[in-house]
Amino acid sequence: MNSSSRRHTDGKRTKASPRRVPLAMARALFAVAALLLIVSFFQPYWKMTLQAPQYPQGLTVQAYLHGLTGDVDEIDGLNHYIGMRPLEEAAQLERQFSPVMIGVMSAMLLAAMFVPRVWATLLALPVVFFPPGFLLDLFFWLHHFGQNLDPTAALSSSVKPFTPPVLGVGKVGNFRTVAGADTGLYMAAAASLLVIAGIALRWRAHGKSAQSAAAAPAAGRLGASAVAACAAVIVFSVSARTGADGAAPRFDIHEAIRAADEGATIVAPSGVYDAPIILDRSVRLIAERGAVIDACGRGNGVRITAPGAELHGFTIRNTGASLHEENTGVLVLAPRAVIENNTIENALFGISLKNASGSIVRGNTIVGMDLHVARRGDGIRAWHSNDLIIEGNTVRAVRDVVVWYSERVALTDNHIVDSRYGLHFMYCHDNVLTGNRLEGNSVGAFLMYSRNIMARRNTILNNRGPSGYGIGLKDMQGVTIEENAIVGNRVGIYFDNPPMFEAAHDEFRANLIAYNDVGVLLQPLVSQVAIFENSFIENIQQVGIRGGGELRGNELTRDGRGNYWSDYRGFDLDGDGVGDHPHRVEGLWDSLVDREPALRLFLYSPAQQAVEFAASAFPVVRPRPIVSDGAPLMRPAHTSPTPEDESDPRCFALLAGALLTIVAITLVGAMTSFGPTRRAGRPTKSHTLKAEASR
Amino acid sequence: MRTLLIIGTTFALAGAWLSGCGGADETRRTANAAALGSSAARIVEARNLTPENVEAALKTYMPSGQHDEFVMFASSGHAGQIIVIGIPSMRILRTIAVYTPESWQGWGFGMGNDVIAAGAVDGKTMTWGDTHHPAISRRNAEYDGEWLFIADKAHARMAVIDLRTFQTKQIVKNPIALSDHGGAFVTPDTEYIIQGGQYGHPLGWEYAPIEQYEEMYRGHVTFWKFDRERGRIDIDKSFALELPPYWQDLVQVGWGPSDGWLFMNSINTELHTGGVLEGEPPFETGVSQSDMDFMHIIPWRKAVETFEAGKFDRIKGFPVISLDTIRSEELLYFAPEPKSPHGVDLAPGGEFIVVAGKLDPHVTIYSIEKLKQAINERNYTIDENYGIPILDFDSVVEAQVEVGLGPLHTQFDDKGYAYTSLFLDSAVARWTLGGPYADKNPDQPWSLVTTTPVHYNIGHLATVAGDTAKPEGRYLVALNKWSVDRFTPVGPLLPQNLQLLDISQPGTDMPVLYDMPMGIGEPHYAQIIRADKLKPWRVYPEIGWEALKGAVSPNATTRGQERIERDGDTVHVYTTVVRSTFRPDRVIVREGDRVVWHLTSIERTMDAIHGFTIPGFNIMTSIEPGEYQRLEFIADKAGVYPFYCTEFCSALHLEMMGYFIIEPAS
Repeated sequence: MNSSSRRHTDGKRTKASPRRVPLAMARALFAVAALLLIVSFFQPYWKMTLQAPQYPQGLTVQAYLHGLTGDVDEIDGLNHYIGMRPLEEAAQLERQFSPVMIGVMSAMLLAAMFVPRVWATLLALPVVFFPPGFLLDLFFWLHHFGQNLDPTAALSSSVKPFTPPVLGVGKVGNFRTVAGADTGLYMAAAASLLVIAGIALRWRAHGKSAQSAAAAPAAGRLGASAVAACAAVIVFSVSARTGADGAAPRFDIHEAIRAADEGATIVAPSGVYDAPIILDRSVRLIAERGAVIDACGRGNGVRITAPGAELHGFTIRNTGASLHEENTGVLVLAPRAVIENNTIENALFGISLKNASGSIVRGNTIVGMDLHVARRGDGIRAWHSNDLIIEGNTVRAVRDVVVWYSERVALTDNHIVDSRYGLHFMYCHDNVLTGNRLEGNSVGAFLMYSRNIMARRNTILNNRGPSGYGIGLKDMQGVTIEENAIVGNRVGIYFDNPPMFEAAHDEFRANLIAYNDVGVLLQPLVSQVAIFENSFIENIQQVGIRGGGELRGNELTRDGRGNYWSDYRGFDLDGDGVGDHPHRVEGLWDSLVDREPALRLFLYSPAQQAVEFAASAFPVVRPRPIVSDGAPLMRPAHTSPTPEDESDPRCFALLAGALLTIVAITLVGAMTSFGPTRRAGRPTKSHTLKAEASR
Repeated sequence: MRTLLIIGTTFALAGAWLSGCGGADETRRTANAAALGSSAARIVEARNLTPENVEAALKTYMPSGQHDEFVMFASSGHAGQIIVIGIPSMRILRTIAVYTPESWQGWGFGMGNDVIAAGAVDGKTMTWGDTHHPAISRRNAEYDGEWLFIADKAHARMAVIDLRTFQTKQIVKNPIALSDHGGAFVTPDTEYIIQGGQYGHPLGWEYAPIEQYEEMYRGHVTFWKFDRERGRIDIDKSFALELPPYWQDLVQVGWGPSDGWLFMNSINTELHTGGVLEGEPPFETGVSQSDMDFMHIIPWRKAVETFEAGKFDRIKGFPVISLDTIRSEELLYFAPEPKSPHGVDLAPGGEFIVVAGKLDPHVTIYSIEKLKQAINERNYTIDENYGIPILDFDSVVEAQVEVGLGPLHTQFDDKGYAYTSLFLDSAVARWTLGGPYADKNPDQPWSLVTTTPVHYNIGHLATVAGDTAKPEGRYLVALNKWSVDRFTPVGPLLPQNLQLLDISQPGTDMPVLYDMPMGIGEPHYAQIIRADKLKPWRVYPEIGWEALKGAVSPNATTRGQERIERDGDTVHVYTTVVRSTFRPDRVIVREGDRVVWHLTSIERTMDAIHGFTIPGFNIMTSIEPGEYQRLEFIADKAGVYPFYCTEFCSALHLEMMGYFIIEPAS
C-alpha cells in the first residue's frame, strides 16, 4: 500500500504531515546553530602569530569577522618596510557587511524552523558553506596582499611577493608565521554541522511511517550526538585559546638602560613601568605588547638626552598637568631620535622635540588631556630641530601642533583633529606638508614668517574657530599650495602676505576650495600671488577682501587657464573648456556681505536675487569688483584627495534586499504550510466539523 | 453726529498744532535734511561712497570752531616726543617735545637744555629718546589731566610733562638701569611712577661677562616718588627692586580689589642669552622656547614699607631692594602666563587681570581674588632659578577666551566689553567679561563677540579712559604698525596708520571710521582723556613767569625796564618781547664775553607767540605770552649777527628784529 496516498477521514495524521519528534529536534538544532553563529561573531575566527628573535613573545593578529585586534600597528609597521599595505585595508567590504551577514544567516535559520523542508534547506545552506567560505575569502586576501607588494618599499629587494598560509606554518623574511583557526571559526563550523544534522532530520522526518516510528528515537540520537560533538568542539577550542597570558617576569627597565652598551636594543616586556624613563644612552627601546610607561600624574613620561635613541611601541600615559613645567609624554632633547608607533594618552604635551635635529616621529597616536583646549599642552612640539620626519601620526584633542624655528621638516600623512592649531609654523624654512588631514580644529594650518613651503594633497576640513582658517599665511615667501582639499572651514585660505622679495612668487593651484564660509580671503596689500586651476565650489562667499579695497598685481590665470567657479554663469562657444567671458567676483551682494557678514543668512534667497537685480537696474550703490578671472574653467580642474565618504550606500541596499527576501520566503512558506490546502482527500478541520455538525 | 464732528475737529486741530510745535527747530532740521538729500547724494555718487563711508564722515568731521570731545596723548616711539590728537576728528593738535630737541618749540635750543642735560648717561647728553607708554596722572585710579609721564626705553629715563603748559618739566636718568619698557605707569593716586625694566643686564650696567647671565644680570622695577606739590620726581624718595633677568615687559598697578598690587609680565624666563655665531639659537628663537613665562605680582605698598625701613642696598648711590630681601619679605610672586605675553591689563573693576600671549589665540584672565587666595594659602612651588614662589596656574585662572591670532593688548569700555588687538589677524576683537560684568551687555559672558579687521598689524589700542577704573567706551583707536597701501606712497619710509573705530554700539557693530597717517613718529601706546578734564593755561598767569620754576623770575623785565648791564666779562641783556619789537634792538658786546640774555614776553593775548634766534649760535626759543626765558652763551667770534622773531606774530613780523654785534677783542 502506498502510504503517501492513503486518505483518511478520521482525522488521523496523514503521511503528508511531518513527524513531530524529528521535526522538533531539527528546529532545536537550527535554533542552537543560529545562536552559535551569533555568538561566534564576537569571537576571533583566525589567528596568526609572527615569531622572530627580537619579539620573544611574538606578534599576534586576530581576525574577527568585523575587524582585527592584536599587534596590528606593529605588524603594519613591519609590513610597510616590505611594501605591504596596512591590514586595515583588507576585506573592508566583508568586514563592513559581516554583522549584516551573520544577522541575515541567523534570521534565515530561524525562519527555516517554520517553513517546509525544501525552503528550510535552502535557507540553511548559507550557514553550511559559511566556514569554508570564510577561509576561502581569507586566502584570497592573504594572497592579494602578499603578492601585491610596493616595489619602492625600503626592503622590497629582501622580500619577494608571497602568500602567507591560511593554516599552518610559513616564513617571511626572518619571521616564522603560525596561523590557525580560532574560537569563532570553530563555533561557525559547529553551527554548520548542527545545520547539516538538522537538515537531515527534516528530510528524515518525512520518511515512511514505520521507519519514522523507529526514526524518532534514532533522529533524537543523531541530533543529540551532533550537539554533543559540537559542544565538545567548542569547549576544546575555547580552552585551547586561553593561553599562557600570565604575568610577565618583573623587568627593571631603568637598570637595563643603565647597563646597556651604546647602540644596544632593549626589549621591554609587557608590564607597567614607572616614569620618567631617561634615555641617556643611545639605545633602542622597544615595547612588547602591553608595555606601558605610566607617570602617575607627575612629570614627564620619557626623556631622551642621548643622540640616536629610539622608542617603539610603548603606551605612555598620565603625565603631570603643569604647563610651565611642560610635562611631556616623550621629551626629546637630542638629535636623531626615532619615536615610532607609541600611544601617548592623557599627556599634557605629547611629543616635544628641542634641539632634536634629524629625528623621526612616526606612527604615534597622541590623545590629549581632558581639559579646556587652552589649558592643554601641544600634541607635537618641535623647536629648533631641523631635518625632521613627522609622519603617520594621529593627534587628537590636544592644544596645538607647533613647529618653530625648524628647517627641512617633512610632515606627512598625519591626522590632527579636534584641537586648536592643527599646525602652527613659525620661521620654518624649506618644509613640506603632504597628505595630512586637519579636521575639526580651531585653525587648520597657520604658516608664518617662513620660506619655501610646499603643501600638497592635504585634507583640511571643518576648521571653524573664531579665525577658522583652513590655511592661514602670514608673511610667507615661496609658498606652493596645490592639490589640497580645503572644505567646510570658515575661511578656506587666508592671505596676509605682502611679498617679501620682488622675485618671490606664491602659487595656489589645483586645490578644491569648497563649502567654506569664504573660499579665499585676502588682505588688500597682497600681491604676486598666482591662483589658478582651483575649483571654487559653493563657498558662501567665493572671494573676500578683508576690510574692502582692490587687489592688484596678482594673477588668476596661468597659460590661459583660470579657476573653476561654481557660480560662473557663462558659456563656452568655442568648446575649449574655458569660459568665453571673464568671471567677475563682485556683485552688490558680495559687497554687502563684506560689510555685514550676517547677511550670508539670506544667500540663495529671493531677497538676494532681488538685491542683485536692483543693483543692475539702479546702480546707486555701485559694487566694487574684487577679482576678475579672465579664463574661468568650465569644469573643475582640481586634483585633490576627496574627503572620505563615510557611509556606503551598498550596505543599505543589501540589507534591504536581505530583509525583503526573508520576509518573502517566510510569507510564501507560511502560506503553503498553514493555509488551507487542496490536497486530495484531506479534509480541513472546518469541513470535518461541518461534516460533524451536519450529521 | 454733530458732537462727534466738533470733537473730532478739535482733536485734529490740536494734533496739528502739537506736531507743528517742534516748531522752528524741527522745520529747520527737516529742511536741512532735505537739502542734504540732493547735493550730498551727488557727492556720494561722484566719489563712489557707500552709506558707511558717509556715516563715518559725519561721525568724524569737526566743523570749524568746534572742539573734539576727547584728546589722545600718544607716544611717538623713537621720535622721542608726545603727540596730541583730537578724537574723533583724528587731527593732530600739537606735539610735545620730551627727549628729542624740537626747534619749533625751542626745546633743546635755548629752553629745556638743562632738562635734557639732566638725563645724561655717564655725562653724555642724549639728544633723542624712545617713548613708548605715556601715563596721565591719576586720582582714585581715574585720569585727573594734570601731569603726563613717559619713559625712554633707549636710555632708561623718565620724563614729567606739565599739562597746564604741555611742556616737559623734568627728565631723570635711572642710575641703575639702561633698559626699560614698562614705563610709565602710575599708582592709583600717583604716589609713584613705575618704570619696569626689559633686557637683563647687571644693575648699574657694570661689566659682567655674558656667561654669568644667571648670576650677574638682573631686571628691575623702579618706583619714582612723585611730589605733586612741586610737580617733580623726588629722586631721594625713589627706589628700585632687583628682579630676576626675565625681561620684564609691561606693568599695571591695581586698584579696588587689587589695590596695593602691581603686575608685570616677562618674556625671557628661558634665560636665553643669544650667541648666533656660537651656534646658539638667536634671541627670537630662544626666548620663544618655553610654553609659559611669569607674571610678576608685587605687593608694592609692602615694598615701600621695606624701603622706608631701610632694608636696601645702594647701587651707584640709588636704593635697591635686593632679591634676598625680596624673598625674605615676600615682595614677589610669579603666576605662569602663556608664551611671551605683551600686555597685562586690569579690568575696570580691578578684579580681573587679562594677559594676552602673542602666540596664543586665547587670552587668559586671572582673578585677583584667586591670586590673593593662592598667596595666602601658599599654594605655590618655588622657582628653581631665583627662589620665587610660582602660584599654581589652575587655582588663579578665571577664564580663557579664544579671540583670534596674535593677541597683544586689551582695554575696556563701560559696557562690560574688552577689546584686544590681534597682531597676526590684523584685527580688533571685542569680547565680553564675565562675573559682575555679565549684565552690562546682551552678549554671553567670557566669549568673543566680533572682530573688525584693521590695516595692518595692530600693536596697542586705546579706548577712552580704557585703562582706568571708569572707562567711557565710545571710541577705540587702533595703533597699527604698517600702513603699506593705505595712503599715497611717500618713499620707502612709510607712516603708521592710526585707525579710529566706533565702539559705541553693543553687539557686532564696530566699524572703522577713519584712517589717520602718522608720519612723524611711531605711536606705541596712547591714552584718551575727556577734553574737559584738561585745564591748560591760555597764557602764563603773570608776566615774567619762568616755566620751569613755576614762578615769576626776579630777572623778568617789564616795559621801561629794558637794559644791558655789564658785570666784568658777563653781559646781562634784559629784553621785552611784544608785537612787533625786541627792546633793546641793538646789543653790542665784546668778543669773549659771556652773554646772559633775559627775554620776557609782555603779551597777554592768547596765541601771541614769538620766537627768538641768533644765527650761528644754534639758538632758537619760543616765547609764549607772559613767559620769561634765560639764554646763556659765549660771544666767541667778532661779527654782526642779526637776530629776529621766528614765529609769525603780527603784520610787521618781518620787521621784528635787532642787531647783535660782537666787537673784536682788541
